[in-house]
Amino acid sequence: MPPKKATNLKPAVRASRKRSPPSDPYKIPEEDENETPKRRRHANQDPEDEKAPANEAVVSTPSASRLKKAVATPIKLNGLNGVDTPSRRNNADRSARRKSARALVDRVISGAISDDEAEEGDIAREIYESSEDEDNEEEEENQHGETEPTTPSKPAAGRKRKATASTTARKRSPTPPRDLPPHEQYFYQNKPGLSKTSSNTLSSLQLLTHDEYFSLLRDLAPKNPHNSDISHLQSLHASSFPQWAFELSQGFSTCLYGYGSKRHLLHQFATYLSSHPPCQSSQTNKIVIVNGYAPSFTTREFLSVLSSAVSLPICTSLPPLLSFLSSRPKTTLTILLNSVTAPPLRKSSFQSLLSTLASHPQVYFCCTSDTPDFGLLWDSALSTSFQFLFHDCTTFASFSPSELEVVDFVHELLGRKTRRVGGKEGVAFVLRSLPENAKSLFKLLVGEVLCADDTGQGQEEVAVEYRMVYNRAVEEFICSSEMAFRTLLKEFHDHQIITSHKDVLGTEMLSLPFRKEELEGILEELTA
Amino acid sequence: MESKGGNERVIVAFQDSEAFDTGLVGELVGLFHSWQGRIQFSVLFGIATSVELFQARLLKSTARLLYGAQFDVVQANAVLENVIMVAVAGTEAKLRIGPELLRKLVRRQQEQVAGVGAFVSSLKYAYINHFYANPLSVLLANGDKLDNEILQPEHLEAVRMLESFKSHVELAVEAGQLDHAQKLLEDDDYLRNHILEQLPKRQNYLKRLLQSLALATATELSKRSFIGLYEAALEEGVSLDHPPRPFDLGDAIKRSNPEELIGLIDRVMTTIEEGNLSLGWGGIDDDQDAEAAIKRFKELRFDVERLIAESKGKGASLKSKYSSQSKVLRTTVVAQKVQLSRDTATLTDEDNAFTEAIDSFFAFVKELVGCEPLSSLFLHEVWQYDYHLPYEDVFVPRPGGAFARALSRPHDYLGCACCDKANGSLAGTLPATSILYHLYSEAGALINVADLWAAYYALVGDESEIGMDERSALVLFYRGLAELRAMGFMKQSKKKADHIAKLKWL
Repeated sequence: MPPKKATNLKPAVRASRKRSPPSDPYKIPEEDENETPKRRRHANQDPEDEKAPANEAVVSTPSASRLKKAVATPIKLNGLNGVDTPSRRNNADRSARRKSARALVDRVISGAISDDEAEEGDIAREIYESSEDEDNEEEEENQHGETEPTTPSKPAAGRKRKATASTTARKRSPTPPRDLPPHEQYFYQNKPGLSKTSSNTLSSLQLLTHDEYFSLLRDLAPKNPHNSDISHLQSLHASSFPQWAFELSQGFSTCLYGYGSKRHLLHQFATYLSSHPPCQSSQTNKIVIVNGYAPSFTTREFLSVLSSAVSLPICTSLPPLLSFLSSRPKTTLTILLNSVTAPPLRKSSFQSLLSTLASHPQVYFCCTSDTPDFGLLWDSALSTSFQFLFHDCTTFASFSPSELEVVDFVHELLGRKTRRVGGKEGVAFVLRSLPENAKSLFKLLVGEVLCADDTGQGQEEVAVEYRMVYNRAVEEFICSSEMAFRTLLKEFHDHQIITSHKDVLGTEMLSLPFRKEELEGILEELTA
Repeated sequence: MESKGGNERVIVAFQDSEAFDTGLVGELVGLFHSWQGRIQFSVLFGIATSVELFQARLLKSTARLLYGAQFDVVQANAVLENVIMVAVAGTEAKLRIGPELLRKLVRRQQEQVAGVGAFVSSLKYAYINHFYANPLSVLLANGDKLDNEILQPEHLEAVRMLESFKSHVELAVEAGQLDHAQKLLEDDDYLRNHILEQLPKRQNYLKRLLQSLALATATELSKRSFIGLYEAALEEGVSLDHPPRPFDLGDAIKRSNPEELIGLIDRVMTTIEEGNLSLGWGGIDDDQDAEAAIKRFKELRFDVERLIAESKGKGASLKSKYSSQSKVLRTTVVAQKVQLSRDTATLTDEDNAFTEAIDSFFAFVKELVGCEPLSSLFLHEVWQYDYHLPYEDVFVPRPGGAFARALSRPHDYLGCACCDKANGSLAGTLPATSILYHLYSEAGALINVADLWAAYYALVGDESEIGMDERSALVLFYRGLAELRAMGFMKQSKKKADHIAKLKWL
């Protein structure tokens, strides 16, 4: 407990907190520990002397630094998006302030400072000073009241942190520390309140159209200064073809990973394998190249291609294919798969099918991966049957348009309408060719999604429950059975004007890949 | 739960039976039982605790329907040890997997809980690598087949580059065999013959190694597992003398009491006669040596038995000077008070004889157990494979690191003149994706695409050294962004317009 003297002195200290901070608050922590208490005592003994310069300090020093900050990063002036309960926070701060002030006073009065206490005093002083900053800033903000309509405490806190950071001895630099390990960087960058970005948009920039992209690319591609290096790199990889073929022949599967398109490399590998098959000379080897990146890829098609390659009447399930192969030991099959991590291939059912195929002694399997996350595709059982050998095949080759639809991909990333979906016009076009009840179902769906969007603000993507939509559709006499309902939805799926997924609980959810304004436009058009 | 269908028998396996609802199990068992007349059901339970606990959880009526047999699962470690004994250490193994690689392989088994299959394919890959990448592996062929056609002058040249060749020649020079050393260096035929002479030496070494290991494990006194012993034997050789070594069996042997010593002698004798099956080592195959050794051990055993009988006749227990019982703590109760007195037991004549027997046993064993480290052998590079880097690259890839390196330091892969100076930092000459990756890794969790574009354009645009026009730069920017997205680095963020969220921290 603080002694009586302290309580007597408290009003004076408070006054000094409010109006008369020490002449230069930013210097104190850098000074010698032994000196500080004297200054403090001095400040407490005759506050009147200090008052005049202190006031000046309030007005001049912090505001100057703050203005500088404001000029350098204009974001913070208008980036006031913090949501916090200011009153509670302030109260907490006040009491902390009060306590630290009291601690300082105690120390000054008792006069003696041990080494441990010096440390403690540091903290107390820091709290005390930071509150001073805040006071100043609050004043400042009131002055700037016209330009900033709301002053929630959070941005102020951020500003305060920066202001003290640049001045106190304990440096908390605003620039991110370099060379942190990845996990540290993750936590650093995901700190709440750190994600401040400017509100610039790309509205001034005319986005690329497909035609412009491709016509410019045609001129740019030959001019790439790295072309010769890329082809040299590819030739280096090509020199490992004999090794890879040998590994395949020994019952391993190979997986080529690394940045860059490996389509061309895999194609070359196929050419090599056709002249140097991994099987014995008495066997005939069939090579199938599968493009996993194709969005229309299906397991059915994959299996039918395989079966036609080994001249088996078309079959669409795995067991007949495998038993056919086993019955014909002279035939071997080499499967070269592009982009094993492509979205249509990520299903575990497909991966287990692949692993069963790859573990067959007459099947040689080689795949490429364009993403660094391929390890997550296979659990230990799958990887045991794959028997993968991994090779780093960084090619730096650019992806072909069929592998990567650049313009659509970027526009999707930016949330713009893409060619594939077709936007509002596309929907109108699709619906025109569909029967009347399909139109009314889509209208219903749009209405529901907009409704859900209004109620559930701030969600990443608005989705409605499949079951609910179905019930509504039945109520409105759009369809009479779930079968008919599914058929209608299938039509929408085919034209990619709806998307469906399962949420965490396993409920099927339907959503529309459009922005809110577009949805409103569609609804208007449909009701008109 | 998985089930295998057959005509007459249905096997239902419950993995992890503890997690299963007991009531459900009871009902199922009842159901199976009621079908017993027509369909034979076998039920397999995986039990992590004990059979008693499992039975206690079941209803009595259910338990009565089950006719149980218990199968113990073999510990993964034991399986691994068996595989290693046969495939790595045994006589059948043509290639010696070096201690470093073996340690890595075993550690991966233990840490990643990979199946034995993974170990086997790693082993296979080590063989592939050795025979694919080491041209001198041809010397492993039988001596007769190694004619001039196969053994080319380049091979001999390569042999002269080997570390073991150098040390062999140096040793020869130190030993004063200057002629031998000179011929090795200059005379191809001499070297060829010398190489061919290595085959029997190699076989002898292998026999000696396996004999040492088999006898050392037969004593059952070592604290280390077989794998540990094998690694140590390859690395440091086998010797019973020096205490800190893993083959420090001396103390343990000397401390044994008469009965234990007889057991030891028996085990060692059986190993000498029959060898170790898993290792594929058939005992000491030179009949004379084996007989001599057996004779010595038999005599020793006879002596010890006689000593035991004699001391029994005198009513004293036989002990050696090494046994800890040579000092006795004597307790005497006098008037309900316990008196303790320390007493050094004097050794009788029998005891002294027994001590001698122990000493001579240890001396015998020492004669039989002992070999040099593998690396001291001439041409050991030819039949030892101890590189762990290719193994790690291929089985335990680090794709994140590879992608991050390619994107942050393209020069490492491209070797181009233009990006040489960048050395891992940002430069306008880097490929667009790489520039964007640099900007990406500097940015926070949320990235404004407009700012990203501005930063990118500042690097490659009109006012920079590259001087690209805006639309062309935009094309490359698009492509870089699309590639980064395809690699899973970012996704759309709906928090703000034209913003993307960071997904990867490599």
